[in-house]
Amino acid sequence: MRYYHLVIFLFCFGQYYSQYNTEFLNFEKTGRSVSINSEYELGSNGLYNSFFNKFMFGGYLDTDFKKSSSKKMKELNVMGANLNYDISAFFGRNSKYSYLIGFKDQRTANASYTHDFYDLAMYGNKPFLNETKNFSGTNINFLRFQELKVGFIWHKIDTTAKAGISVSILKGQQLFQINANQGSSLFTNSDGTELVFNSQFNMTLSDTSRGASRLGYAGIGASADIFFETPYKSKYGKESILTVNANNIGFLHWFDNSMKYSSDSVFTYTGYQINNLIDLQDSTLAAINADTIIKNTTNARKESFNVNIPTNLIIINKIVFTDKFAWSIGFRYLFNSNFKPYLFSEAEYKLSPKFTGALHLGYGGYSRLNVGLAFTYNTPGWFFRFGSNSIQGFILPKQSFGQGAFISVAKKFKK
Amino acid sequence: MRCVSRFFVILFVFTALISCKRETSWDVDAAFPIAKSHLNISNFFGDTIFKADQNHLLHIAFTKNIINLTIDSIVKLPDTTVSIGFTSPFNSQLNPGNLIYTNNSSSSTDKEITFDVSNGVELNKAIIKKGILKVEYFNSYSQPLVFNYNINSATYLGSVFKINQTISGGSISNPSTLTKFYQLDQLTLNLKGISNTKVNTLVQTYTISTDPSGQPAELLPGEGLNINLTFIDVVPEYVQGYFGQQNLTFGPDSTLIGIMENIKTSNFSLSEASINFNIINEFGIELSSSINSLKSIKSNPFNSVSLNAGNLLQSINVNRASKTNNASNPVFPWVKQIPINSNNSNINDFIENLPDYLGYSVSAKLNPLGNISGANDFAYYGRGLKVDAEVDIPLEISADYFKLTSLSKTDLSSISELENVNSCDIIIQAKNNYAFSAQLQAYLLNEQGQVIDSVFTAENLILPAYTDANNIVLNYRESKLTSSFDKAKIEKLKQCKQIQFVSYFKLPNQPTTIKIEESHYLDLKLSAQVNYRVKTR
Repeated sequence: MRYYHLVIFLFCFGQYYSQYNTEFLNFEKTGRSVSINSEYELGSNGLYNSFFNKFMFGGYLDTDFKKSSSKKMKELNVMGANLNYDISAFFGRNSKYSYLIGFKDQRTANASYTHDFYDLAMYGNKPFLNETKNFSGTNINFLRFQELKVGFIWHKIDTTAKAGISVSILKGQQLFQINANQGSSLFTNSDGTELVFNSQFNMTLSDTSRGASRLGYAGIGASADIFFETPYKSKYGKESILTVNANNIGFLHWFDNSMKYSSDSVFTYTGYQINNLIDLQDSTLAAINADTIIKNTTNARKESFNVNIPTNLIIINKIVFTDKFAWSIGFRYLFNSNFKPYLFSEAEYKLSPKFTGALHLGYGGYSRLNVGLAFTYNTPGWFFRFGSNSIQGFILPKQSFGQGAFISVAKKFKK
Repeated sequence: MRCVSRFFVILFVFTALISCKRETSWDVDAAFPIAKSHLNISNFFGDTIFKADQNHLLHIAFTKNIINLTIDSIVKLPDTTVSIGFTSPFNSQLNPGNLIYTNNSSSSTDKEITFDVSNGVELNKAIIKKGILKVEYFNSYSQPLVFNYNINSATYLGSVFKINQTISGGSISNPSTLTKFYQLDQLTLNLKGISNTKVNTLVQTYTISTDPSGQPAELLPGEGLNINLTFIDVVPEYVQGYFGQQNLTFGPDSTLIGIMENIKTSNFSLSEASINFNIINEFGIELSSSINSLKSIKSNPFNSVSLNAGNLLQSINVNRASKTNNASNPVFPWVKQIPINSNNSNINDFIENLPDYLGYSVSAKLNPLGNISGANDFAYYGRGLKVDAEVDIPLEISADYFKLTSLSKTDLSSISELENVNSCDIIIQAKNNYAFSAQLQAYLLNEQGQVIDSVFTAENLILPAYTDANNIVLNYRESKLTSSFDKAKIEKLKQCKQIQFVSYFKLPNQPTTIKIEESHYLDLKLSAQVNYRVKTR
């Protein structure tokens, strides 16, 4: 019964939508302002947080740790991370709408991986002699880009509804994608003298020479964000508000020197064939290197291409019960990624006129169950917000999946 | 505002934690093949020296050139300079176009040019492959002079070699100078002089006259035109005449065999061996030659065995080649073969010494009977006298062992990945179809050439094939060798600058001979099992 109350409490407590990579959601509280925002989220539905903490803070992964980190791993799993920070401003003099300008740096990495892939990456192939390790469905995607955004929000459509739109030009800095298709696998024979690589894969790589520096760019693109919020009457509470936000609707065009590799062959490697011991020179041995093998075994080509960026869709329905308490449920999905549909609930309780606490509970995305806390300090001049939608990752890293944090600071303009 | 400060402190601490993070690492065990090879004996020494006979027995068969006598060894046309010209002894008033001097008078002494050819060589004809005539002019007359020059006995397709050159005016104190170079390539030289009875002698005519476009002027005493003619770097395509009774010697010298220097053996014995000496004479000249000594020289440890073949290599009469009258292949060579084998010499001892050098001393006399060709000795460029030693060693042998040593330079210090290797097993899987076993070892040498470690510390023997009592191979045998590298050994591997490979090939049932046949092989698979620390930041 105690757990029942806890679940009800968690689902009924929350507000202030953060960690959703959009500027429009906070406008209700910040109004015209200049703000800085930063957020990260990281998680997997197959690996515990302690595993990622090792990668963030360093350390040695011993065998026990590797085993315990993956004990909930399924045959096919996902993981992902987003790290964004931005500075943006809403401004204008018109009472019906405000303009938006902003700059944002976005990094997104996501992957789908088989248990076998994890085993090979963590243990090597020797413990799996005479076995075929399956890679089918494994993919890794990494994208980094910056955007310069302009837009506006129409905040008095019919006295209460809001709509916003922004468009961005994108500077593509780095792209890496590899996708192992159905049938991809690696077999090691019983004594390690034969590797059979079923290489059903394709790989895409942006021009590393152009994207290496902070100001360098290997691609350009465009994107748009749209936002709509409307209050409506319902039989629950004083008022209900429906919010729909979609951002990062766009693409990046990667320039000519970007590389594409593809392979759909079975390679059996039994060692470099030496035909003559007295002709064994450095140049002969040099042929046994990774670059040469990739070049000889894949269809490698340089060309330009377009890639859709991960589009973020959020739908939230909020019910305001009292002046102090509101509850919302929502849905989030990241298109063009390995993100699973994410259902969440947020409850908000106003602890004082300026100080508000919120509780977040959700399931899905890159991880599994997420529990979060957020706090807001809102004055006529300033807006501060920090918190996490996945606080379990900090408290119980060895038992939980996913972690994240966000922070927003806004200086409101005088009305 | 205090809250703001705290926010930024937290943000700073978090960022600092992320940016100063330690590396993440874990260990993986990887197993992978490195190399494989299907080896036969030729893969150790080079394909070209092994040949199989009709019974599939392998032979070591190679040819080594001992003597290669070319045209420049017997005939050298030296660089030759002659001075010609005219200096006026008295005053004379000259008009444009006046002839001043010609050597075509009976009193002229510069109608011929004689080459000082060494060793008594008397040439009556030559064709020049390449060469240069350098002409230096000194004009002390005030007006331009014209020099017309012919080498009457030098022709190309019937045309005489000519020079027509105008030299601008100068003075005695400051003569006008000019240097010109003329190609002599492809000229045919008649070297018999004006009388057609001389040797090494060219015929030339020339005139000196005033330039028709010049001005009338007085020719003062001491004024005139002096010319230096220099024949430079003349290489003959063909020479003819009498080449004299030259005595030639070759050696004592030695030639590197380059096959056996890394091999040591114990109680090595051959069933048979042979060397055929092939003498190929493409000169139109007789010779009398002797191979005074031929030595099998092993340098380390030094041992020398002289070939004793009785008189077979003494006083060898070499006859002259003849002409084919075919410009593309102008010579019928004269060929003589002198077979030296186990029956007529100590060739087995000679070879069993496993020489890395072949020592020789050869003498030859040209035209031992004098000028019996009527000055018709000849030589072509690119043709000569060659003596080749054709060595044949059937691989039916007995020995306790063969020891093969080789050095390989290496530098693994720059391979950073080695830092991350915790331990490594290098595994050799062998399938041996030879009658002998192979004991392998590789020593790691530091910069000073000192041994700092060895690759194999445990079993390092590739077992021999299954054989019968006569050492006939019945079936292959498999072996597995493992070389383990721990951290300490990997550290030594990074210090290693050279690897010395030492292999013992041990022959069974000695002194029963073994036959190494074309079909014998050694299959090797090299693989690694590595415990590797993956590190990320």
